[in-house]
Amino acid sequence: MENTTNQNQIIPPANRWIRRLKKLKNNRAGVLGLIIIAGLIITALFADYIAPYSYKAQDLSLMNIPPSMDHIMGTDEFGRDVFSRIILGSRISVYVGVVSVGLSVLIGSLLGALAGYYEGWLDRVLSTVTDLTWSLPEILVALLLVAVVGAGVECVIIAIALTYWAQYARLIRGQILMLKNEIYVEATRSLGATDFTILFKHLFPNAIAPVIVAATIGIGQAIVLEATLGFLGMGAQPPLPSWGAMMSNGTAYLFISPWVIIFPGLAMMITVFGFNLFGDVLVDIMDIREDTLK
Amino acid sequence: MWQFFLRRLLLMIPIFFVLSVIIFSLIHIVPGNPLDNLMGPGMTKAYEQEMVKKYNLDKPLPVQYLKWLNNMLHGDLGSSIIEKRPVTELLLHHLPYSLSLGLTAIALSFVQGVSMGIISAAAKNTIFDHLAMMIALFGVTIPAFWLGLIFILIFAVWLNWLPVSGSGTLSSLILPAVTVALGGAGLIARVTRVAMLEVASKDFIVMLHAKGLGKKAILLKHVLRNALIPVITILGLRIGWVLGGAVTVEIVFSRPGLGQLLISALFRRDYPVIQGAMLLLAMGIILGTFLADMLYAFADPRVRDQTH
Amino acid sequence: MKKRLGSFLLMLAILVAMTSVQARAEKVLNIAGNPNELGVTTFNPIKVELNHDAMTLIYDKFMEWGADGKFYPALAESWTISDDGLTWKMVLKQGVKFHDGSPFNSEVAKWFLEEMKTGPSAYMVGAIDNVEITGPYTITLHLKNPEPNMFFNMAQDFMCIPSMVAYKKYGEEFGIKHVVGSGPYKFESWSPGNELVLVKNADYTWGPSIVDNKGPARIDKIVYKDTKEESTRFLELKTGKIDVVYAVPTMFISKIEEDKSLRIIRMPGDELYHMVMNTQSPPLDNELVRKGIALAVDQESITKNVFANAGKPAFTYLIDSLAESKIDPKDEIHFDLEGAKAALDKAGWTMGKDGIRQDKDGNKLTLKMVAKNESSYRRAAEVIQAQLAKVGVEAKITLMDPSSIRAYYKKGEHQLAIRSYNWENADILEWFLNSKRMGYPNAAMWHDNESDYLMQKAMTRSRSQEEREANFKEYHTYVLNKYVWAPFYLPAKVFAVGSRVVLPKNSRARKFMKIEILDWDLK
Repeated sequence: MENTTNQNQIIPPANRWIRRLKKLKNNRAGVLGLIIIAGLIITALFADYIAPYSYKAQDLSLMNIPPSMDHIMGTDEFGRDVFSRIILGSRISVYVGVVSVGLSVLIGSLLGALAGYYEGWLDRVLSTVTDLTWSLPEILVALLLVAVVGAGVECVIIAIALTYWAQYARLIRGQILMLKNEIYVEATRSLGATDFTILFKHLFPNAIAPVIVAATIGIGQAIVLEATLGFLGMGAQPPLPSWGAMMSNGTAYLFISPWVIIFPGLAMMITVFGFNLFGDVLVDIMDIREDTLK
Repeated sequence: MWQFFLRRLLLMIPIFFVLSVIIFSLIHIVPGNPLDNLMGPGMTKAYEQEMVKKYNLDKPLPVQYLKWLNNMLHGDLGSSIIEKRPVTELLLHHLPYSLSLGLTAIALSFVQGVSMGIISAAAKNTIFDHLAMMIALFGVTIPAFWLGLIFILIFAVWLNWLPVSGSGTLSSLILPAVTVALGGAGLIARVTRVAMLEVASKDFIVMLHAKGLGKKAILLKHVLRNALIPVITILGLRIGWVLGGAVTVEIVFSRPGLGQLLISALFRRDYPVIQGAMLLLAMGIILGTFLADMLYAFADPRVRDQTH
Repeated sequence: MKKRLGSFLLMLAILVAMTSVQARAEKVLNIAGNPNELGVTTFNPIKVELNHDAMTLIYDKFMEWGADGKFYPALAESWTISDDGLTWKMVLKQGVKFHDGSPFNSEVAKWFLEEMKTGPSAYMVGAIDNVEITGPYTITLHLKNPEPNMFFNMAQDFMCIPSMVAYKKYGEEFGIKHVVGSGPYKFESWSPGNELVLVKNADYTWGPSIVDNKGPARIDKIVYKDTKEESTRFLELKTGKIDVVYAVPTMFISKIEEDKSLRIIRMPGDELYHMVMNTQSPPLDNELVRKGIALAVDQESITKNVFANAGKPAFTYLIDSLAESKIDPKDEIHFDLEGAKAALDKAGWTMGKDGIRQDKDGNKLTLKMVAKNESSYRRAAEVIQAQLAKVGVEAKITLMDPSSIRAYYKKGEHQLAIRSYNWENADILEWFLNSKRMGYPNAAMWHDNESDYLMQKAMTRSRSQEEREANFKEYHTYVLNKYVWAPFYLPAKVFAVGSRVVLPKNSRARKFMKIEILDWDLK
């Protein structure tokens, strides 16, 4: 363990990143993950151009039609093109995934860093809270929070961010705790650096790598959580096509038009798979021990 | 040893209280109230007032909380406002469905996860390793409710094997248990693999190899036994997850478990039921963590000794 | 080996014995009840909020309501009402015994009518000032105000008459562990979430005039199974494990109809789907805007496409089995695309370039729509959203759980709301449109003096059933023309019946099964 950390301090950050990129190039799984993520982002950005039909135009004469040349993934209960809705849905998934995880990383790493650096009562309170939120099933926490904040994509983002921040706080706290006893920190302090500089200029950049990895995998988790909330009837409001909501709406027609459920699920599976794959590879190339992520 | 147990047990008490306060305040912040769900056409204001009084809904929140806490410490979780039955009775009615599903799923995921982990560790960096880890990864990425729906589609609709849902028969337990287990198995497989590889590189294992013991024997007897410690910890932590986190699977397979109870109570703001169910879950989780700690301590004496 | 064979033979013998007992056995009717009734908590008619269908088998009522809208004598053998509608003289049936052996008489009747005032359904007897015992089997009700609706109330499932002796004896446990009525079936056991078992009351001979068989019932035992999962219910019906399925979902109707041995029974429903408009939230405070929106809702299309024609389109605010719903057709609300556009144009909202109407200040006609996060409401909301878009009205949907929705109504922030109610009396209009109940249940925030006046007249100043009907029609017509709601769908009650069941030939009952169980049989 000490070995890797020491290495990190010797090599200048910039070179470290170049070395990591080189490592990534040689990792096929990582490249695949990266391709999936890139594909998802491109789909989300250019959804309007890719989707062959409008995601909300109803045609009740074309209800529940199986996949065909016109509608490659079939149509749903209102005759809307499932493929177009999945394409548009990627936008919601990416939006929710990235923003909610971004928010929770922001909250989590800030609080975690402070707790790790100062310890004392702040650390104790934070540890208790993180332990609690971590031990409760996330879906229940998110459900309660959504009920408090309200319905809609933004509310779901807030709920997910509040559900997840604890794990990042835990992570970065552990890192800071470990790093702050290094000799070079003492050295910097003796040179007259303030707590703020030490924490955010020296410790933070060195502690952030595992958080990046966790966040990458976390985006995948957040996408699933959004879908699960959508499945329970909370989240994106109709006619917006969130993947979870599409599957939830499809359950009533499971026997009649299974494609309404199958395809969004596949889309989500591939997406989350991509994030996980990429995350796993990041673990390797960033020299992070797997157990720091637990 | 017993001192250690006791310390861990005592530590659970404050956690328990903090949790009960958080749960209580959260559900009362949520807009809406249970009485609206009770009032049907024609019901009078007088009746509503009576109900408000009966359930102390007119009292300030801290007073309500203390009353609830007091009753709870006396073993009384109150009565459901909507269903009128004692919360304890409701919980006992729903718990078996969650427990049977949860325990079966945990057992399944343990067997599947550990064997995948062993295969993958034993055949490190071969195609089997990659394959097992791929499967594990998919298990983690697939949302449980989707998998459940697909299972229903395959087994109930296409193959016509029934019943797949409901709660009466043993066969109705299989699919939901497999659905829940797959997610957990992925995690366990990965933990097992990492732990085994780590143990395998330890000095004493290297020694055993040097002594000329069979590879298989070392792997299964010595490596696995030591590698199971983190796996057991993960299992303990998963107990709570399986109890409450299986709510979507319960819905998909219409099992009347705790998750379903909690969600319907949440939608109707049936405060006593939400509090009771959340508390039960929290207790299950704390207990699971505690058990994991204990097992860990038993397996690894260093943990115990540190705390003395 | 010998031992094993012995025990095997013993088991076989037991099995044979058991099956032969069953073969000789009783006629058992297995029912998959209404899933909504899974929440039923008590069979105490005085305290109950959610009624189980079996109540009507365990208890008798004063009257029964026929499909013809008339009221038939049950435990009340006959009655006379004074001209001012304030005095009701009732003659009670003699020889009626509760399951615990205690008799039904005027003392029980008086106690019951007074005890009803302590429960959630107190309003059912709200008009009764006092009950006078005039003989062992005659009572006189003195009313505070004329209430022809007493007939309806007395025929309701909420007015089931329990044994006074048992009620007083068991206290809190009455209705849960001890259920004692005078009906054709006795309560045997109940495990909530699992099953409810009723057995025949062999002493029953006092069936109401609406059924042919006065008792006892022909079916020995009735088991209500709490099977929730639709496909399991369907499958068990096919395999004969269940004889009757309540609340058959739309998607299974055609599958059951394909099977020749099964029957689908459609009964008029008691539910009405409608869209509420908040009459105090601009621009919905303008009657013309409301008219435009109401006319844009295509009831036929929703019935066909969202509900697969399982029910009927709704054109008034009441279910169509009520006499008060039969108003002049010109006052009904029917889909009319051109009419909708004309009304919105006239209200000053002209079509904008983006397909959304605007007023002269450039405000867009965008409205907030709420619906419960359950499948049927969501689907209706999505279709109506698309229908409104066709006339240039943009609706933004928010789905919420039922509690959040009610809290939201109370704040008055909603504009459109997709809702439904279950009720089969015209007085529901008062519940939803009385200006004293703003927010919830009056989500239309409807406050109109003329409307309140007509409501008061119908509710408290009708002396006879005919007068009440006329008054409610007047009130109903008035609010229809104010476009406070856009009605759109009347679900039917759909039941499936298996091959063993012999249904009565000339059913006169308004409801499925209930007391008509007396005329049922099993092959």
